[in-house]
Amino acid sequence: MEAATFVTHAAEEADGSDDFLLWILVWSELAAFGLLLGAFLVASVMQIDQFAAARAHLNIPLAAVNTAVLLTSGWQAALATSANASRGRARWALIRAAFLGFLFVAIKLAEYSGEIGFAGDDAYGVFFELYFLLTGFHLMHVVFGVFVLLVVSVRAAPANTHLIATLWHTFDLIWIVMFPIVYLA
Amino acid sequence: MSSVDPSNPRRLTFAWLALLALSVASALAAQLSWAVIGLVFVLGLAFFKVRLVARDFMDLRGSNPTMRRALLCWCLVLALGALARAVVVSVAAG
Repeated sequence: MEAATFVTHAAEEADGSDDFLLWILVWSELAAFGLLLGAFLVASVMQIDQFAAARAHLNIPLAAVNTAVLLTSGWQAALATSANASRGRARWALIRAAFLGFLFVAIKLAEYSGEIGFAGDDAYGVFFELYFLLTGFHLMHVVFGVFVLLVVSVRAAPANTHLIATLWHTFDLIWIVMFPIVYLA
Repeated sequence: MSSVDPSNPRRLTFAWLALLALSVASALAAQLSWAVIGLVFVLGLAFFKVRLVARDFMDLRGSNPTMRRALLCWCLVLALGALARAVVVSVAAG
């Protein structure tokens, strides 16, 4: 009886520890991107004309499409963790989320191809350096997330599905805030 | 599972559709020359999008309201920073 109680408590403590570590990771990401976005805002005040000129070269429609792609991917990741999801359904939802994440990467690279030529141009100040740093850092997270989504989809264990879905939603949140600040503000 | 279970697929689908609608509204609003007012509207929409993702996709509505509020605060701080920037730029432009 005591052994069974110990095992139960140990399992509950392990679950709590996993969530605690997960949120530590989530907030480390939010802090990093928060600082980068803050730096972007400060730089935009110091180089008003350069940032305004640079922003005219961004492909806002393509970025808006990419926002829809990432949100749809987040929807699939959320479906994978829903209470209704069997292992099979969760697996396919994770695969769809990964495919949409890959589509986001492809669209972003297409967007970059039209913008990379402006990097280093003094007329635009540090806009494009910060833009590629911010969005490129986010893109690397998406690439990492796609890979992990596919790995987790193999067995679609509930605990792992919950972990990667939470991280994936974090990347979604970051993009939701980054898009208006970088592209629209 | 209750009918108000936030992880219900139907609720998740409604949240997704609402997110898409808010995204379209943001993109359209940004095309209008409303300056600071337009930016308030766009950032407000972003705030609601963050709320939807935190509440429904991340299932923090009932399970972890403190974390949900913390995520909203993160969004709010950045949104206020963007607004402050817009005000400074407007003042500098005269």
